[in-house]
Amino acid sequence: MSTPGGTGTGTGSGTGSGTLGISAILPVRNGAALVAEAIRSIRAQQPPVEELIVVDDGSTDATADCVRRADPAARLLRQAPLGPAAARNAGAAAARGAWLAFLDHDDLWPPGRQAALLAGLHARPEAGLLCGRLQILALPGGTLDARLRQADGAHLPFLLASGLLRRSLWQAVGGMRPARDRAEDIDLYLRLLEAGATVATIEATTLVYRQHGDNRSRAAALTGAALLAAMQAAVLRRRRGAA
Amino acid sequence: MDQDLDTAFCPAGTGIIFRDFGDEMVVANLDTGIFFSLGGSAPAIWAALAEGHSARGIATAFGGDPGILASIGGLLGQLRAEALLTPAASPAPAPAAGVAPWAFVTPLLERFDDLQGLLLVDPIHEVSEAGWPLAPQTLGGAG
Repeated sequence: MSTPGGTGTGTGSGTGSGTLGISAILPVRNGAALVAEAIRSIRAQQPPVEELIVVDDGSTDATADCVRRADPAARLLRQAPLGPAAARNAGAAAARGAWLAFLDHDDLWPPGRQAALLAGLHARPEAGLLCGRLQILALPGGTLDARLRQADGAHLPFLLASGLLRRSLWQAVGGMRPARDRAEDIDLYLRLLEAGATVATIEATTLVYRQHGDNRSRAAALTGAALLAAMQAAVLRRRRGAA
Repeated sequence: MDQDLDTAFCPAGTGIIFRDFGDEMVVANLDTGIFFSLGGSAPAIWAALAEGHSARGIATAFGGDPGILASIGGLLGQLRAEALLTPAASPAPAPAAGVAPWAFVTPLLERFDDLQGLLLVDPIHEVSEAGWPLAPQTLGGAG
């Protein structure tokens, strides 16, 4: 399969080198229990990703050893603990592919994801962000409330792990903002929309999202402030843009 | 509706979250993904409504001008239409004296649907020193 190119919003296209041009980025802190499983789900993809970058954000457990054992070919970047946004930024800065593909260490890429997304890129070459459907699984201790059950099979493009993002677009908006951690992906998604990114979808399942505990209702009560701050920042940007 | 002016309301469920940013309030409905910016006197009105004060009580606190009551009633109608408020179980308390120490400014409500239908999965992430996206010890032996 040739490199997916395209002329979507943002600049850049495939690498033109005959590679697939997809850089997988797996940010993690203290994820020794599950990181190998996530890596295996990436390496099982056909065609393979061009590279796998694991960003260890200051883990104090055996995450780094687990990564090395699971995949000696992975590029392991270790940094002081700076948070999810900074870890993703570090991974993206090191990436060489034209497309970025993220995965959190507690989730999985389902078999066939890579092939489905590549087919999607050829069908929608204008896409800056291409995503597939979610499969929601409850881990032991996890519960699926009505909203999560509704999410099973849905397209939620703000979840970067559900698809591919053109690296030039990531660079154009400046990547993620560490100050927006806890709602960094919503903040990025809103900025991508404001930048005019073309969001496209495919029918295939591209992410197995694993729910754990009942953190959501607790988090909504206690830390919805981050999400609301990201929304307010979007309101202010749009006002400035309209002025 | 006129009877709404004397009714006590509360946020319509745990999916309604809001935050006061000083000169504006942002309200989000996690169930729909739609979020709102409230400006003018709308933040103070929202805060008072969410505490269970009636629209008429709030208008009284703003000075009681009939035009102010109509304006607050209009905002209340919008908030109700967006399913952000629902009648509260308790009756409306006495007029909310002192909730509005500032001058009345026409309330504004802006609606944003960029995230409509998208906040189905945890949009608010747990991040701690123990790890993220989750601490392994919370998995209960999974993985």
